[in-house]
Amino acid sequence: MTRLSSSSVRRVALRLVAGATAGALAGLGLAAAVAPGAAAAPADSASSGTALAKAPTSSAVTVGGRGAFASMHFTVSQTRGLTDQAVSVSWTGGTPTTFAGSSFNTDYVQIMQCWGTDDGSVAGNPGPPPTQCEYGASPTTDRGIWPGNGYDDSRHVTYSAAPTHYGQDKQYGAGMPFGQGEVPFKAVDGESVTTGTQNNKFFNYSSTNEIDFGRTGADGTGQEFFETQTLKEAPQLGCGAPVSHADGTVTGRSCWLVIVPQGHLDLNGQPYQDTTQVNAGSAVSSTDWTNRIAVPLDFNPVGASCKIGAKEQPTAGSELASEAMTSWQAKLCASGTVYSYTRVGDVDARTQLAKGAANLVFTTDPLGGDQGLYSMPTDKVTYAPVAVSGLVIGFNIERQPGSTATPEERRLKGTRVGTVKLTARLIAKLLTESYRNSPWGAVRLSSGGNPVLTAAAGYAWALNNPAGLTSDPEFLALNPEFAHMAIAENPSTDTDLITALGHADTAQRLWAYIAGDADARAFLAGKADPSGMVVNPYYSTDATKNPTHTGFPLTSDDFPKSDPWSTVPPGSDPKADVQRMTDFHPYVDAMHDGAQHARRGDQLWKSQWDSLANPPVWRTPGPQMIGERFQLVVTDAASAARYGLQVAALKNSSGAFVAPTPDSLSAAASSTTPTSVAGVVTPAGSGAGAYPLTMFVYAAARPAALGTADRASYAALLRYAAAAGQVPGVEIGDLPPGYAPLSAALRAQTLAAAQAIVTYTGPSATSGGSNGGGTTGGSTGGSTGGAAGGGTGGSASGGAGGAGGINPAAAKTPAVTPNLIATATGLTPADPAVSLSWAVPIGAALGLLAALAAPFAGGWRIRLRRPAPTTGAGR
Amino acid sequence: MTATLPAPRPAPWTVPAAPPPAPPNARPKKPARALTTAQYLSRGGLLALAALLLGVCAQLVLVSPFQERSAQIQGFDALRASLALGTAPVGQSDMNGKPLAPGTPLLLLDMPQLGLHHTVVFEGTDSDVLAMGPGHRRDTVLPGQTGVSVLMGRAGAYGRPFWGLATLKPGAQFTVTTGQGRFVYEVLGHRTAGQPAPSIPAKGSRLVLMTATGMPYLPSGVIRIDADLVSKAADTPAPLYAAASVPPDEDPLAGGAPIWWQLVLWAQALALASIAAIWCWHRWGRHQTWIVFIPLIGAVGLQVAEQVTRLLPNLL
Repeated sequence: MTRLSSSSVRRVALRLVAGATAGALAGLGLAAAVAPGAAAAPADSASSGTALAKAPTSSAVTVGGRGAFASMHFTVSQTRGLTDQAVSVSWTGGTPTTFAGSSFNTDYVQIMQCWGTDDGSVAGNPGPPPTQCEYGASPTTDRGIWPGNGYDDSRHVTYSAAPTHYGQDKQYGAGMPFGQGEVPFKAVDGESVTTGTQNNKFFNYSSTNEIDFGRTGADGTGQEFFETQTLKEAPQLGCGAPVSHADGTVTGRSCWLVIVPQGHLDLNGQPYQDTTQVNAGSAVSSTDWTNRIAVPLDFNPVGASCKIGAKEQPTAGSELASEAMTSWQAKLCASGTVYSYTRVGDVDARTQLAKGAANLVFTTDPLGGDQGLYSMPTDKVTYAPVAVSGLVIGFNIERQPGSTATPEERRLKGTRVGTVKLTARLIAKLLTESYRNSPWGAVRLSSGGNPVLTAAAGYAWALNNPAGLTSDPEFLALNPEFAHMAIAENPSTDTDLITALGHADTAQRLWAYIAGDADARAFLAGKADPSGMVVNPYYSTDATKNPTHTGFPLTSDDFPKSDPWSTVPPGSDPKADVQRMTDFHPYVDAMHDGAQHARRGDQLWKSQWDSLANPPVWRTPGPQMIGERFQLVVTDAASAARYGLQVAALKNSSGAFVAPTPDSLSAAASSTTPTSVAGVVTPAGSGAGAYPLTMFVYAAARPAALGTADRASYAALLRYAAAAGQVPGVEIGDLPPGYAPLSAALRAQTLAAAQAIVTYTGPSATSGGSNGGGTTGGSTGGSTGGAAGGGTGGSASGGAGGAGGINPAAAKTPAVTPNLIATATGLTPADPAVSLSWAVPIGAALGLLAALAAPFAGGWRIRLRRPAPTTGAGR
Repeated sequence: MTATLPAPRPAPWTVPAAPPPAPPNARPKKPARALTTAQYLSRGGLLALAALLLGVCAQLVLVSPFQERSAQIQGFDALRASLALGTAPVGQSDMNGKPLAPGTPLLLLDMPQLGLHHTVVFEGTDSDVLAMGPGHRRDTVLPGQTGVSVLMGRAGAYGRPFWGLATLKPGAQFTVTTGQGRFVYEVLGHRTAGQPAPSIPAKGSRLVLMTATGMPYLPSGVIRIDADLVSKAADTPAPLYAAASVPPDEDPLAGGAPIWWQLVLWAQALALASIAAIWCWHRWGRHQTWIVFIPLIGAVGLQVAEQVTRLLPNLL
């Protein structure tokens, strides 16, 4: 203590208050700076759907350009009855495209899809405003090499009140630095994206259907295949959304296809000066938009034909029936019955049927050929042919002339190859991963003065094999136009066929086609082809040559990736994960998906190691380079037709190369060979014009397993399929493109089968009803239980399910785990180990100890009555 | 309070502020008693250690109840508004379908037996959330819905809302108010490790209250109180999280994961403030130093202490 006068007391008090205020303010500021809590950041989940809708038409429209493009005429191959499919956009009268290296320079065509009504901006050509167009999501910024420069293929514009150049905009970008702005995208629900449009919440380069660079050939013509997206693929456009009219009809909301031609003259009429890059600027800028040509697109209504809650009649089976069923289903909904269709492999469909599923299945082969999977039913199985389709090798190949190409060939650079011929042995080479670059990295070019190919252990067989299809002498002999092409031969191009996962008769038919060819058979057995190419031993049918010591069976009904090759691909980050054959050549889920990927030119091989991702992953680099697309896919005729895929001509048994067309399918179907089951045949495919991979699709049902109502319902479907369902067309209910109509004899067989199903009386006529019902219920349990274990489910629930048979759902849905945690049921769990339980008392004790010891450390003097510093200046 | 908190008389955890400096030449009273450097440093170090440890304890024991009170008031205001607007959460996600952020005010708990009146329960059970009040385990349904929901609360620090949970008698009733209404629960009993849980009726709604057992600040285990809904159960939305899918620091008696950058930066700030205080002690004046640095070091020390105490078991 100190003695203080009253004035000093006041002074001290004043200081105290001032100091406390200052300190408190500082403390408060600090405390406020510490915001409590860190909120979790939930990730938005995006969903995408794949549509199975319907097919193309003859509603072609031709429109002319304006102004500088008045000489150009554009033809859109189909503008009515659209679904998610490809339409051809072709043009004539253009100026040939010029290039700046790999970039485009002048004179090309940009195509996009838009929603909305006429904005009245062009008197003679109604069309939508640019803000409602799906455009500007090119991968420019993610790619080292791409024909664009980030303006011409994006929504980026430069503001100018009085534009003099293309790519300038009179509205957007005003007030931004250097006038750099983006044309917003407005979705059909009214939501707008104004920034970051290149990768926005609605679309990005992997989902957009825009065509940024359509090239005009030397003859002034060009062609692109444009994927028209329905609201399932592009909800932001809403095309095909059902619109009900006063008269009760339902149509799909129409949309626009907009073509923006780009020339070699700038807006001011002067030629572009810059020959090193694209000049035109964004197609959706107000300047470019003055040249836009809009074509209305009428979509079939999506998903509205069938009433919710209508009676559902399940069907399942081969993907070959998928497109037809989708068309017929929408039509038949008007009758009040929804014929649902589920794609399952033929074998699974047959197993379902044999085990008593109460539905109609689609299959190519009859029951009986699948050893051990099921026992043959004792009651009669009725088969009705419903469609003639085929397995096709689709392709999307753009010409890439190499250094040896002739001037004529160079002029075709970037155009699509229209025809390709393949033999069974070539298909075998592709399917067996026998090309040198298919097991990617197994054969590498050694570095050094004289590059030499060296093979990894066990891959010496690949050393003398061609790198890919387009360097195979056998292929070049058949397709001489590939002789002077320079195609990057890697897993994403010509070393393999894109195949669908799963077991199907289509795969079996393709292996049978290969097995039916003596050359191919010999090749698979290990014999070198004339150029010395040998089969990948993992696919050798010779067990002594196959490292697995079992010969590859040519009766397979799938496309196995048997080669266990795995490596970190050469040239990639050594820390990257290894890739295997399923990474180099990924499966697609269905043949339909394969066709879609091929049309879009999507590279399936995830060839880019993204070390910045967490965790680092292999990524696909996105679409293949424009002008360098190369896709080969195994798909079905209807999917190929839907996506406008070019299809390969295959060598049939008479030695002719035949492409799949309705005529060649019909020709193949006209002569048939019987199978083990009467009434089920397979196309012989022997005639000169017969396509060798033609296949029938049969609807198979067991009338004894069906109730009376079900039998009538399925018979109605078959009767439709045999009559109106065989009329080719693109409207709802027609036979979609790609299929060949059934012959009169086959249609009669279908009608007879329908009659047999509906008039079925059963083995014991008196008690048929109850027996049938019981079987139905039992089969229900079995089929919904899945392919495996279905038998036990069926027998167990057979008695109980006798009444219904209509609703097969939920017989064995997995028990919903009750939302309980361990703490709530059973024995209370043991207490967790608490490592810090003594922290507080021990900490306090240590603190006290330190406080008591401190005076001693400072040289304790008894005369100090206070713990030296603590209370020193207390008052 | 208890034997374990020997709080020294002056606000203990703020002591570190001024003291380390020796008063050797500050007051020229005893110039002869100059300390050697070693003495000076060791005494300063010991004092700093003492101040730090005692300060952390004092924060836990003396200050944390006020922090909890503050969070409760804020939470109540927020929850009251959302209940009135009808936007209070009724599932594991909010109105926009996003998972509720930990620390979202969720419901009101009225348990007169424990003196809990309108106690706000927050979403989440890590030690940060439980510093604000009782927490709702995120992978369980909300109270009042069909299924099992779990509330956890502290038994010692931060206002110890669940202190004395074991004294709840079977049959005691308490009320929970959520965005779906008011629900009355009846206590079935309490249990500890190894004891069987009472069975749950098929469509019943079970509420499990959890807190730590043992002496205050000395948790030795977990006690669980089971209570069943006696009023009508509300609609149960589909769960967003699978059972037992919360991160490990939300399990009972788990400590929070250290947020190193915060801990280190605040510790550095405290060291800087202490050095500044020593400098001022010698060059400015003792009164001034006391006045200015007590609030400053107090504020910074509070942050350091919070960063340390959040590492302790969450039911402490």
